[in-house]
Amino acid sequence: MTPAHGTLPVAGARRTRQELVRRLGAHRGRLAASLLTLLGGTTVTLATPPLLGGIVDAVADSGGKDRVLVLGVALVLVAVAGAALAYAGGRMLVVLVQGVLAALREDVFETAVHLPASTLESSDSSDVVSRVTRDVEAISDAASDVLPDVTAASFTIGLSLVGLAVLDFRLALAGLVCLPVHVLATRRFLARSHLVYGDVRRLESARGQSVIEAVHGAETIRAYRTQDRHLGALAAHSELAVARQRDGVRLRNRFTGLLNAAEFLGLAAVLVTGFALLGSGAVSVGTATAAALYFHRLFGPVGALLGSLDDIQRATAGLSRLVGVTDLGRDTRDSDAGDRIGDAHERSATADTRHRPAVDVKGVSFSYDGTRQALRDVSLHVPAGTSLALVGASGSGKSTLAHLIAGLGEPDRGEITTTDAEAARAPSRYLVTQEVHLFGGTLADNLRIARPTATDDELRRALREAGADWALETPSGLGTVLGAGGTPLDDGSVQHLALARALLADPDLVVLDEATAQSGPQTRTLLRTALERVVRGRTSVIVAHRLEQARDADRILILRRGEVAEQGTHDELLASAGEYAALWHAYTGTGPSSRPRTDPHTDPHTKEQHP
Amino acid sequence: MNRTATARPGGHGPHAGVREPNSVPALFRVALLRDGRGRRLTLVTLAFMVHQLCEALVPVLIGVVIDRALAPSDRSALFWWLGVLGVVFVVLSLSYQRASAAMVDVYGYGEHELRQRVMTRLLDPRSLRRGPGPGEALSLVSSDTYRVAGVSWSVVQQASTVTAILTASTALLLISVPLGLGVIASTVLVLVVMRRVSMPLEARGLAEQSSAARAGEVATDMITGLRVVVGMNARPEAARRYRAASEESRRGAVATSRAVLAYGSVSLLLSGVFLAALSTASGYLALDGALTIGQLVTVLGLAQFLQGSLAHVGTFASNWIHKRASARRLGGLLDEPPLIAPAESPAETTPAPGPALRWHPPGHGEPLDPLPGELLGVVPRDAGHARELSDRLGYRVPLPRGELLVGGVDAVDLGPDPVRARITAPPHHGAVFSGTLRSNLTPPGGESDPAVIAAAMLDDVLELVGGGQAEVGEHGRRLSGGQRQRLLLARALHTDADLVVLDEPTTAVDPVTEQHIAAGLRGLPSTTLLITTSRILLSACDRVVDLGAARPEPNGTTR
Repeated sequence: MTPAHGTLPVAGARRTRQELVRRLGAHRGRLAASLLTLLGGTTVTLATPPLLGGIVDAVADSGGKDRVLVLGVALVLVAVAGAALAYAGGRMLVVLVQGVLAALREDVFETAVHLPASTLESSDSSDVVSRVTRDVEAISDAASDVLPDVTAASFTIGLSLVGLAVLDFRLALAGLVCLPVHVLATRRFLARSHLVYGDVRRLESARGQSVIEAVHGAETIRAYRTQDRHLGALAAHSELAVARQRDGVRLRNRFTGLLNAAEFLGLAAVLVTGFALLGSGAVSVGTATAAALYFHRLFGPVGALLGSLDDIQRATAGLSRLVGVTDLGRDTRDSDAGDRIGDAHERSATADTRHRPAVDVKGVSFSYDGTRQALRDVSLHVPAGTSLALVGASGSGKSTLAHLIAGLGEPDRGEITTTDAEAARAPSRYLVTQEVHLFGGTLADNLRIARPTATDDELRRALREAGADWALETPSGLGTVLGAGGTPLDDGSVQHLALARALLADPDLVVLDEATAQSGPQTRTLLRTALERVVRGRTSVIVAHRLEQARDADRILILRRGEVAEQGTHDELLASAGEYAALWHAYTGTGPSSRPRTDPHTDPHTKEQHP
Repeated sequence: MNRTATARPGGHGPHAGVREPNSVPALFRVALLRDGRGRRLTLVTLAFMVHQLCEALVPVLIGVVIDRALAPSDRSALFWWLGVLGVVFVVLSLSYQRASAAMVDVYGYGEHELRQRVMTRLLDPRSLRRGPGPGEALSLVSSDTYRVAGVSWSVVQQASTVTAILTASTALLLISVPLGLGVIASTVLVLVVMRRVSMPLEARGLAEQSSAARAGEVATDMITGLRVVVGMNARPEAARRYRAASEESRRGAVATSRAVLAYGSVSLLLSGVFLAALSTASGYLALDGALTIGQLVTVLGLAQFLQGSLAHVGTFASNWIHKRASARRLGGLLDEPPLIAPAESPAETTPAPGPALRWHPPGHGEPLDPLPGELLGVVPRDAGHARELSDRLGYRVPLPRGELLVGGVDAVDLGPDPVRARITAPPHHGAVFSGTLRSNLTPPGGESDPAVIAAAMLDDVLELVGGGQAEVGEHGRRLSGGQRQRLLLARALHTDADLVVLDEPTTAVDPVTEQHIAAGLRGLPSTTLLITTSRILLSACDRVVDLGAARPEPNGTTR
């Protein structure tokens, strides 16, 4: 889709808002209930200043201790009710928001895994990962830490103004003189804060990245004695981050200064107005006290609200990155239907009933970015139930061809058909990739991902068939946690599990791009046996990373720079004394020219041609 | 999280009796005092205390204004006291701004120094006897240093909160002794009650925080293994697993938030009851004539102000618990003994006669003397054996005296770093760092050697990715496995060491490329020791030594 290494799209502000409203709107009722409860809690606590004012009035009127006691009890009730309502409302809101967030991140993930292979190849996996982890976390943090505070703060501010107005509207107007200063301060802050804090986050994440790389590459760093270089880079990152943080604090200080000025102006205005109103007999001392206390109470919430604007900004940015992905899903969701066609999961096939598709590749060309041709006019035929090995230098297009045959991506020209005369449905295709990846969780989790419905017995059978009995001898058998947090496995064992998984999935057509060449005959024999089992009785295409794999295949095809150079059986190709024959002899050390004569120094252009 | 703490209970380990150089107080001292931070931090703390003092004065002044100006309707007193309020606001604002600006450096450099110390230790040439796994190391370098450096914030914030409470109670003591004492007693009470309340909540919160991270873990797992998932047609299953993890995370997040909410509500309730009690009591006192109206207003204002400070007091203890635990973990790492202990006896620096490099592999009769310019093949028993041999030559594991001699001096006497200056033996799973391909190939400013690039078959890669300035991505993810391996090979061959040790350098490349690499290695002038079972590579060697019992396949002979 996108050429070169791109990043996934980001939704616009309006689209993000629309999506947020849509998702929250689905829970309108609960949202209203939780907000009303929070509002109720705030309303109740706002009775505090008038009650305090009442105590002042009671004393001023010499109203007696009973009146003060009643007011005191009322204050306790306010505290109880306020705390209870804040808890209940906050709880409802958190449940709701976390639910909406979970649905959103699930949609993002679902879309991300179903993106077409071409998009996934071209965009950085780190971009996808950072969206489903970091952006989701930013929103989740904002939702659980900032949202309740901000909601409470907004309510307090709004209701305090109402409270002031109830005491006397002129007091409320006096309090509002600070508003222009707040607006000015906030505008100036927000205009620059996202730049500065965006930089700080980027620098900190770069610093985090250099830590991660140094930790993972510690052995390499020791071997090359490049400690100073890595520590220096880390120090430079720290220095930059601290410098930018200084800018951030300067910005925030100016903001705080203006907020303080606004607090003073508002408080002075309320006191002066109280003075005037008291003089004209419009209010009591208690009312003036309550007004001043109302206003003083606002300092905290206003600071909290304006101070968290930056977090809200960040969460919004994360949200638009998530919506950008889910929107992509609406365009591509139709095309993933193909995924399920070849689903072998619900079938209990035995060798006898297995479909045996033949593979036909006719005049296929393919390029990744439209310029560099990875495959050029490739044609081949794999008869039903036989195996074909692809041999070639890296960059010759063998992996590309294998991926196309496995159904991941469409050729630019030509066609690939996997036909099966006897079956009505398309045959299931399965690719064992070069990537060695151990999934998190237990041994059973690692196997069942290929066939979620498999029983424990089927898992054990697949492991035994693959010759991976060692896996069952682990401490807890199928329940053993593998990887860094449990029983560690080497690459060979992980790949062994991948082959067992292929047996479990039991596809009609298997494509093997398995690349782990392991030292030592024992491991090698194990993997080779497993591979034989996977291939047996199935139509298969094998990217040969070792020449034994080619020798064992029914037919061999040699690719050179995206074109077919030779094809035939092992014996035919040996007899023809071409590229494959030379390779074989060098590999086994048996042939006429046991030492390659190619000299890359003198003529780099001939390196693809073998002597 | 207390695993390290239980493993090393405050110095009862091998260094029992000796005060550990990286004890919790020592690390706190680094964060707080070193490099002029102590002086700065004192000033910052004072400034924050002044700030809080002014904050506490605001309600006092509100009471004064009402008492002296509003109640007697005294206009000049109003402007006089508003002027005082203005001055208090200026001091309040400026002290805060100066303090927070200075705090960036105190905190930032404190964290930086701790991080550099931990990182230096993790990259120690002598390694660690019990090194942390990558995940643990990461959390040490990032979260734990972050928390320990945060003690400066704890000191500042807690000092200023205490100042606020002291100022308020002093004002109250001046107004009425029983009220002042009551406030002090309530503060202590709140401290104790909130600590009680927070303990179980905290334990639950921590447990649930980890489940809140589940979704992120599964997402990372599935996306990094996405090609494998796609190949298996397992996208629906991956999505299903993510949904399950996401649900678990949702429950964790809700539970954590609930704990936080509960804590907040309890603190709100307590401070509300405190406010009610204080107000009622002061109302009674005022009615008895012990307080003026203005004093009553001041008390009420202070009570309201103290509500916030009391809530903060509730978090004091838990704040330090986390930081102490982090400091203990950092100390555990910094005090971990090295894997390769320094030589016990003083180094014998007189070179023994013999060849420049001599390696006596364990279990092998003859010592190996790689000759200058030689391509020496060594056949390991299996993959594990290959890693072991390469670890020995790279001095990544402790070596017995006499196994490895460099320039006639025993490696044990030289120490790992000088040995590595002469022998480059990178690990098989070498790391590729983000940056350009060139930056991974040579040190900064180093020249790349076209002959080496051709020998490692890297020119192909350079052409494909668009030259040496192309970014390789995190961990070199933009390169394929074969391309990465050729980059690692070229990097090893670019060093000017006397001997380059290659551990199975071609496991991820195809036979055709491997053959070109074999020819290329043979053509290079450097002295190379090749640990491999690959027939193609071995056939290019000048000499092959079999250190494994079994013969590698296929059924050929070793030259």
